[in-house]
Amino acid sequence: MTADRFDDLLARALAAGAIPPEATEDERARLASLLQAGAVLEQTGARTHLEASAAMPAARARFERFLAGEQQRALPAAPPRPRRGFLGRILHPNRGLLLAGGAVAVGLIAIVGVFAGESLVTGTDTASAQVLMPNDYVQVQGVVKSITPQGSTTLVELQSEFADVKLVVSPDTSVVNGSGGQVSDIKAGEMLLVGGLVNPDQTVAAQTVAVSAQKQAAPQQSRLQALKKFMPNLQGRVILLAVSKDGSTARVLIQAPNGTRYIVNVYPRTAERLLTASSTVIGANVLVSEGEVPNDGIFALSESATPAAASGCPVTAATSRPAFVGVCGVIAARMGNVIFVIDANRITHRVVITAQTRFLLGESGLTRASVREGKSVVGHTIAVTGGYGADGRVIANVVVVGKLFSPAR
Amino acid sequence: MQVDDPAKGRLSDAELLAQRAVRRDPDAWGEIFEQHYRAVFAFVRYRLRGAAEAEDIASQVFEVAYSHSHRFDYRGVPIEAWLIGIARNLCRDHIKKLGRRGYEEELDEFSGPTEPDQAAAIDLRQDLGAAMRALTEDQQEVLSLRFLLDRSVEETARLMNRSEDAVKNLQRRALAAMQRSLASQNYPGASPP
Repeated sequence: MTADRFDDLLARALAAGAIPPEATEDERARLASLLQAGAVLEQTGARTHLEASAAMPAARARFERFLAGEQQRALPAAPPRPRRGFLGRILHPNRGLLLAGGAVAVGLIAIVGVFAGESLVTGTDTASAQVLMPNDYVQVQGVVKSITPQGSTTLVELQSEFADVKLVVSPDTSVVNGSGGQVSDIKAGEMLLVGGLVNPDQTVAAQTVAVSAQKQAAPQQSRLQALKKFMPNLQGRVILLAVSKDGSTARVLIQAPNGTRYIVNVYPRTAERLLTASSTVIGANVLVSEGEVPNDGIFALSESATPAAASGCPVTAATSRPAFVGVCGVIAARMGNVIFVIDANRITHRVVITAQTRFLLGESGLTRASVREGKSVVGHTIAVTGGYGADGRVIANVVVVGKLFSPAR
Repeated sequence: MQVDDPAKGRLSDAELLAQRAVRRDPDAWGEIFEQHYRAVFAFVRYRLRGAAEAEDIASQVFEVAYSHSHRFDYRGVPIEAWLIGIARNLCRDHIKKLGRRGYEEELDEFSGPTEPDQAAAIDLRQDLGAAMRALTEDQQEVLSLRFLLDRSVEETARLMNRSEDAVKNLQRRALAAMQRSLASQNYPGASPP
């Protein structure tokens, strides 16, 4: 039996679905085994086409957004201003004014430098550096200052309550309105609630953007103070939430009633409780309490009472502020990276886990290692924060896995 | 349908579509997407670790193709071959990147083996994915084209830029490797010869 002969027999057997009659006994045995492997592949091929069809709506929407972005980019740019020659620049009528302005600016910078020596948290850039740590998942809110298309992505400058934050909005970003509907574009002056991951350059890769229908004034930015020691009765409104990649550290920015803004390091369990109480932590009113270990600079927060249902989920009240998509319930099943969650109304939600999804496993008793080794997540309570994909599936940004569901609890 | 073009002779529908694609006609790109997305998805599906990754890479194929459309010489080259070439390169880059930084552990946790209460079909796809990734790139490609995209030996040869004999030979070796791999995972439909 030569290789060429066998290759030919196999090709004919695959085409006809039957072993050619001239095949020898030995060839028949080998062909049968290869046809079996081929049948497994064919069986999977049909399912793969179903998967591809299911993926098409989201992929089509993404490609349409990409094409629209490319066409926008291809539009002729505004003609550049005519460049003046050297003499023209020197003899420009406003030249004297510009030089004087420059000198004043240099002087101001020097003065500010002297006064700012101690209060390093004052500047908005510094504030941004203090609270936006690379790889953190963050929730932040602000008003759109500017929008700059950059190929398939858009750079959105957001005036938040602590700093100007640059957002990268990509075709994968879920942009929703207050009622969870898809929004086609973002406009300057709109109030946005953003969930995303901090890039190394401190821009935020937006995963979900919730757009408020109501126009709001840009927030005032003011100095931040890091809370080091417990202050009794310190209350405030959350203006930023940040959780580290492995969920081991978390912090919030709160604004006290007197306008002071504090950076508060909190226990991971606190972040989990806040995210379980509501998918949108921004705007929650919290009371700071002393941590488990006094004077360690880490605190606990309690939100104004949110009753918990038997499933471990809160009873949520309708709200007019922009909100992320939240799913809360019990994990009924998992197929690959899709989990099926049954909520308190017995509605099943399909939640897609992506490479960017962050997990908080604290109260579940699970660890990353145990899940990887095959420990089941089915039956655990879960609170999901995220947005909608183009096909209506929930795309998880951050997931809090809780204890095993017990109806009697 | 064919159209007479006095300047270039007869052009097929596919060539006309390719011409429009090179000019970045959005409608042409819409048609190309509709015609080829499923095939591109199927081609990359079992080289990657899950449907979500396949969705992403398949989408990237069309974005890259559009961005580089001015370089596409459609004379004698089917659009599908061009898209498959881009998909091959993107998969290769993606796998290299993952190899360098390791798979995101979070995704791994939830896209690994499905929990046992799920349908057997899911287990099969997981087994198949693992078996496919154990093959060489050429072997994966020939099996994807022949069995997942249902291309003939002749079409596969054209898409892989090889002779038909070479495709038949590669197909045999790939099926044998796949059969061994499935048998090693105790997949019931693939007992050792």
